[in-house]
Amino acid sequence: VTFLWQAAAWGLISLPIILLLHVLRNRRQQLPISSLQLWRGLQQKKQGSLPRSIPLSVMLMLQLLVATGLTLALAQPVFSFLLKQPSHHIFILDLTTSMTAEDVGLGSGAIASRFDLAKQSLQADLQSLAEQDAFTLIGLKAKPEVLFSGTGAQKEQTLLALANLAPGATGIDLLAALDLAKGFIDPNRQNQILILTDAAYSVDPAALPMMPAPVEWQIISGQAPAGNQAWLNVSARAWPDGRQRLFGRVVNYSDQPVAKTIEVYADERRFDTLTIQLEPQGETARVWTLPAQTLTAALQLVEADSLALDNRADLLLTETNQAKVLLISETPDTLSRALTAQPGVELSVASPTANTPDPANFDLVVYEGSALPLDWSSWPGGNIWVVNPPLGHPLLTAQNFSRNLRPNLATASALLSGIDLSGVYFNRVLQLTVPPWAEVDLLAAPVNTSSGEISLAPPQPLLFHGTPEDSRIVVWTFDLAASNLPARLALPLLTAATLQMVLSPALQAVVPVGQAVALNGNFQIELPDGVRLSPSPAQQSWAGEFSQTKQPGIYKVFNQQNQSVAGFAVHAGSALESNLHQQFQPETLAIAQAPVNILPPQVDYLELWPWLAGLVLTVMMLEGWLAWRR
Amino acid sequence: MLKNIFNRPKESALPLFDEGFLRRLEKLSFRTAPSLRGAMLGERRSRNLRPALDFSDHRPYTSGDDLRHVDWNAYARHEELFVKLGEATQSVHIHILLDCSQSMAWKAPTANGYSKWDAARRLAGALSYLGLASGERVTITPFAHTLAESFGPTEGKRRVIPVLKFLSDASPHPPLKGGILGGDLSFSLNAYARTHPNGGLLVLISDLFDTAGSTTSAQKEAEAGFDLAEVLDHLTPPRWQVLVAHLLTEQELQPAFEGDFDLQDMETSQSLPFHFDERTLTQYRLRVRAWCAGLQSACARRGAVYAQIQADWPLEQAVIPYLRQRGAVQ
Repeated sequence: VTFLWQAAAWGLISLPIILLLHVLRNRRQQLPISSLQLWRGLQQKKQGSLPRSIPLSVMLMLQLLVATGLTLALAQPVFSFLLKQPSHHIFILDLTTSMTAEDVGLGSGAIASRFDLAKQSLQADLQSLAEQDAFTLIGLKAKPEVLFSGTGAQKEQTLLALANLAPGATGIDLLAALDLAKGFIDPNRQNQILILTDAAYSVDPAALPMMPAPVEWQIISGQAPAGNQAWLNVSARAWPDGRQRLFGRVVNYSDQPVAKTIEVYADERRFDTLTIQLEPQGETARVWTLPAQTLTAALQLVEADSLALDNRADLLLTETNQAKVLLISETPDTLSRALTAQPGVELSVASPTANTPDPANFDLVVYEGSALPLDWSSWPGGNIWVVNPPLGHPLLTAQNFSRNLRPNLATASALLSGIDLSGVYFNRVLQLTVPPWAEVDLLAAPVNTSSGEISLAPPQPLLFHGTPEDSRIVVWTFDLAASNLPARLALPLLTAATLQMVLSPALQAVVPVGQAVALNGNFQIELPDGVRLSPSPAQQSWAGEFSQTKQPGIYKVFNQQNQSVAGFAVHAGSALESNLHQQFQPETLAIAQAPVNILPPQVDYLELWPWLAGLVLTVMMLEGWLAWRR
Repeated sequence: MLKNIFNRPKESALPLFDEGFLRRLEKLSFRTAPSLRGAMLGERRSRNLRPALDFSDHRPYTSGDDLRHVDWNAYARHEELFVKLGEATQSVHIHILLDCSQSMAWKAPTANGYSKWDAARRLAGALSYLGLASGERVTITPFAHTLAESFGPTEGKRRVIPVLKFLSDASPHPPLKGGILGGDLSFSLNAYARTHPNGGLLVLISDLFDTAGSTTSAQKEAEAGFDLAEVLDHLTPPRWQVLVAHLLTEQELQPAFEGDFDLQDMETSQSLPFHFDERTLTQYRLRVRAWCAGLQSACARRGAVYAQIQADWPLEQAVIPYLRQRGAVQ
């Protein structure tokens, strides 16, 4: 309690004044009696002197109370109390596969997964947030991301969304997660970072950043000894006769020897069953030869362990990354050789004068020279590679040809990095105006005029690409036959780079859980549980990658005609996730804390003088009533 | 009219002289000694023998004796005239001395009943009616530091209205200015005894606070009964029979004050700073007890009847029975 006007304390002088007045009034109070005859000479306590004792009466008490209350009210007492600072809780939740390990014992003997326990703790923390508090939930994985963010008032929606959150990722980047959290530090709040993880990974303490907020760890690890065995490095290779050679490695991350039963499936039929003995922290590798025409294979560890996801590994044995390329050219030899040398390319060659196949059946159509139709008013859909376009094409405006040009290596784009183009010359280059949709990958070096001066004309584009409308276009403006490129090693490399520009990268056969798969185009993805996902209607295409790979199993890619055109397998087993042992203690990390601006305490005040005034008024009314009664 | 006398609105709850009470009073009379002198043809026996039809003695006839009282049978036997003598009756002179000093007007601050003055006037009225109804002669004389004008002597029951009117008109004297001016209780009573040599029944209604005592020492005050004894020395039997009605209030006997006060004497206006506590109140009660005992002893030694009456006692239910118990009335 503080007093805003302390000078009002002088009002306390009224207290002794009131006492004095009562003493004086008491002294003057006269009592008529019949006679002093019998009163004289009695031995009094204060014989012969005026009585000076304070007459304790209700009126005196009330008046003292009124004077005290008025003095206190004039002093304007305020009751100050600290308000709770608004806080900002940044939760970093481990979303890796190891969090699905069901090795956390509950009190009733039941077993829960690490992630369930972390989620319960997180839900409790969110429930305890006040409305003015804020929170940010960051998913800890190889590419950390912000999952939810909001204030305490929005926690209910977050709790609902949190209930459906499932882990599924391989590897973590704690440094990136902390950097991300640092970006969310709110200087106007008390920040607190809480990391909920099983610590089943290694962290370099020296690499951890200095954090401007205290960091707490909540380690969720299994009580029982982590007993997990996992399939690692499962792969297959086709033999020339069509049979598939299946390779698998089983690792025992337990500290105890175990005997495991292995079941091998080919096209969902059991192909082999065997039992293996695994030493503590030991491993073994097995190879099976599957019959030809086998489409899928799977390896299964029969006995259950702490982490079920890595007990099975599926494989898609069909070639999934063949790109169908159609080359239309009158002189296709040079380019067809370059294309044939590219892995995963199924090349078809056609003459422009003959009946050409339907371009819709190909992933890429290469038009060389005069094969490019001159009657196009707009680019057709699909992937198109134009080499040495003819003069006068309506979509590629050109005036003439240039001769004897060399590439300006300084203008090479990143896609051409590592390609040695030195010494290459182009003797016939179309003087194209770069379309507005195009991005130049290589320009010609300026040429010297006959007088020895450098031409002031704009440099000629040698290679550019772009995506007008629904097409993906790559243009080589030079004539291969009039250059020395076919004799150079740079041609297949330049061809590969060009294919990379115009085609989506080949799908990987196996990806770890949670890792994104490079994917372009309007495809449907069928997840292992049968659910099909499509790109968002706004984008009409997967924007470079498909990242919803939380489930281990086989993912199938379907084109718009609902034909299965590719697929890939997702494996949960990995050295990063299958080892469930806690790798570090938070105390050993000792994340340094940067100096934090201490927020000034927020103080609220409650003025007490109206209550005192009310009390004084009440007492005065009581005093008046008592005086009236007398 | 009788009911309105002394009747005050605040005290309407205390009935005064209702008809029933008066009738019951008529059945009572003062108990007087035969030695008192009084007027003849009263209703009381006299110590003297008078010529009478009912005789108990004889004396020789003297000139002037009523011939009706001559014992003619004795004359026939002895040829001498004898007058028959019998017991004579007389009426007693009732002297009611009413203390109208200012102290009689005192009333306890918290008391709701009558003051001593009211109680004294009611008692004087009742005793006057008792005397008049018994055929006595009654004289009422208020006094303070001096004697005031008396009412009476009067006799006959029909005179009760003027008596009560006189009492209702009487009022306490104002307090003395500057202390004693030459008069006090003993002075007044001595003067009254000198002016009434025939004596009679004297009823002294007073609180007996003597202003002369206010200048004496504390030891003298504690023995205030000796002042009354000096008074009673002038009112001795056989001529005088004295009834001392000592009127006090409950607060004067058992004061219940607490704290600091300036005690103010109602008669002298003198003030005394005083601190009331249990110790001083105990001392006071002991002193009052000793004072009353001294008064009672003084009365007893001189043949007077002492009756201590509290002002708030009801007249019929308490005072009259108390006087009967003390032998003042019968």
